[in-house]
Amino acid sequence: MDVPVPPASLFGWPGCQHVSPEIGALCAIGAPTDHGNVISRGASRGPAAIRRASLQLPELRLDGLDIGDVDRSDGPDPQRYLDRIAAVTQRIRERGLCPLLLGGDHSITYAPVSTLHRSRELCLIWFDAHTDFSPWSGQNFHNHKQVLRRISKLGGVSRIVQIGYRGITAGDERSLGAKSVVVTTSCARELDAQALLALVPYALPCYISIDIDVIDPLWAPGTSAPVPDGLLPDQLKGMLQTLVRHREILGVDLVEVNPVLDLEAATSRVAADLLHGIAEHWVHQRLRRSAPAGDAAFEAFAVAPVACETTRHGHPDPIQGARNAI
Amino acid sequence: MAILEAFCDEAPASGGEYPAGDARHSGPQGDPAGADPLLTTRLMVSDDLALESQDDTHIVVINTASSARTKLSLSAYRLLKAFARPCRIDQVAPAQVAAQILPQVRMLVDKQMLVDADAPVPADTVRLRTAVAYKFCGAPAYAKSKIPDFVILGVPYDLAGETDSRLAPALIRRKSLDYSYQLDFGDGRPRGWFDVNRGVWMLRGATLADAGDVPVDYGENRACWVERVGTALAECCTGHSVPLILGGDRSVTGAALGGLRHPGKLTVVQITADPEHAADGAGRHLLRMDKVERVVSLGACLDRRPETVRAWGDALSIYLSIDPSIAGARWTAPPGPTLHELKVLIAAIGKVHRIVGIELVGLDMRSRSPELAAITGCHLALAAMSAAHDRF
Repeated sequence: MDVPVPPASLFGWPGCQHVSPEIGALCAIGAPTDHGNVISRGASRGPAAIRRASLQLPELRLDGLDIGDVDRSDGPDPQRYLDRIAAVTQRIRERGLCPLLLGGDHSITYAPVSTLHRSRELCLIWFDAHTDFSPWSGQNFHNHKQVLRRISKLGGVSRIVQIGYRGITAGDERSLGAKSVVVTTSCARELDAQALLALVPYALPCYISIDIDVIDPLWAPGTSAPVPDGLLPDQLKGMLQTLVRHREILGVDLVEVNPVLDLEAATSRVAADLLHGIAEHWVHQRLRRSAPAGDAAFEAFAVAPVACETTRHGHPDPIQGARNAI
Repeated sequence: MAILEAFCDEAPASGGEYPAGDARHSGPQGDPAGADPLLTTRLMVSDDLALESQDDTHIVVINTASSARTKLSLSAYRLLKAFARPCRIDQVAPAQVAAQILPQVRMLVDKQMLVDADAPVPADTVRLRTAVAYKFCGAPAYAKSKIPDFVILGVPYDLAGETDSRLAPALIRRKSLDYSYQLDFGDGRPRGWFDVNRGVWMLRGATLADAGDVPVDYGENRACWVERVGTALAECCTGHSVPLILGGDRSVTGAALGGLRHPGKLTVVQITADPEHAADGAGRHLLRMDKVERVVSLGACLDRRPETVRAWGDALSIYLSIDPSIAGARWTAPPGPTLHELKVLIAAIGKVHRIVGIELVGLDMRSRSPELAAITGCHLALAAMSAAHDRF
């Protein structure tokens, strides 16, 4: 793959030129860009900072790959860069690996999802303090404020689970359309494993996108649009591990880590730790590939999608709906 | 004639005379008995003026005291510049031209670009309030003609303690722009904001106006500053308006209370990361004020349960003083309350009592993350305003 090898790799993983990766392994790829961040520069330094921080964490039982950064040497054109990320994602999938993107601003998520949705319907799980559903009228531009609205128009994205919306906003964004469910941070704190899994149909493979601002900025201050009162790192880590253990994952990204705004690399460490938690449980994804269809161990948590209850405000209450289903 | 052309957009067609009935020709010129006093007044350019922009035909002048912008033709600008030093109109232009430029001079005087150079200078030359670059939440500037529900006033004073807080009002205002004050397209009333975690709309219909900052003249007698804060607050916070003070260090509390127009006794509730300081220092000082009945300090190590607010009494008038750095201060021992806990507490205060004033004080620009404290401060300010207005 035509990407330069970074000075430090994620968790010390080798590049693809050194090993033959096992089918289903995580394959890290950096997308050091901030073309879609309307607030501040710095997210482009995120991949390097996360990689550096990852080297301080305990060694993982399973290896993955780090194939470096998507090349951006030919200029800052967002569309061209996203096309390139999409192409790299496609090639990673063709090799039987799972893309793990290190952002970069959140606009990059459009690229992998726009590729992955073509082959299979998927469920997008969007951890973010914001809904990223700002108006978009179809123009050919990408920024992190409207990326989810844009992705929601992709035909293969059958379900969107937004987790972490919070703060004070101009409007009530708890309803993002028929195929979406929004779990506010205060609801997410109450979300146990079964309730979480009930929101994510078993039959649909998942793409997980993590905007680091879903975490409380007291733990992860290095991001461009922090919102107070977020999730604790361990709460998110628990949710990610639940998803990795019980749902098929097509790809993961972690975005909006901004080392320029960070305090003593705290945010990079939190980001690396979240990815470490995913990688630590990735063995379940490998086992899933080798498990025969209908394996009870994997279908134990299969919960059919349910109609959400409606709150007194007229909005769906995803947690209650999930609990009823269970 | 050259002078007249220099000052007027259009020179007279002939003979230096304007046609009869021309507004510029009206006035008492030529009649010594009814001579316009402006003709004999020494005028000069206001110190408050600054040039904002210019092109080939116009310039834009901003009055830094009022934030008023005025677009002037180049000829009017030349006329304005002629009064760079104190002088009468006839010292700027020959007598026959002076009468003709009088209307333009009057316009400049009316817009406070030219002022009487010999008018007595007030003993205290520091203005009560100054314009600021950003308004809180992008709210409109305060105007005396309207009484808003909330008046925002910055007090960038930090000489009474150790915190570096003089730039805190500016930082809070800048961060508040993420929560923009908008009017409903249909009815023109403020839209308010949606509080996601509580699932409620807040401050719908509540009007905000930003009155700028009370300037600090570093080196002046502290009593002068205290008096200026009190006067500025009393002037712009009338009727039912509730002030939101953006400090400044904790000493701002006493100065603000001095200007608060509230007939009854006040209970000052301090939400601070350092309640011992508040209770032993500022709290005792506040209790010496006639209008302060009680000081309650809530902090990291004190009871912050919502039900405690009822134990203070019934329907008290509360002046709420908040140190935004307290929220989630996990490095203190014990850790500070979470933002959610504080919002619940503030809502409980608003439900049981009446909030008559709000302030954010003690934000230290040298702290671990002043920007985050400023964002938290915006959340707490809006929550407190909601508690005062919506009384959830």
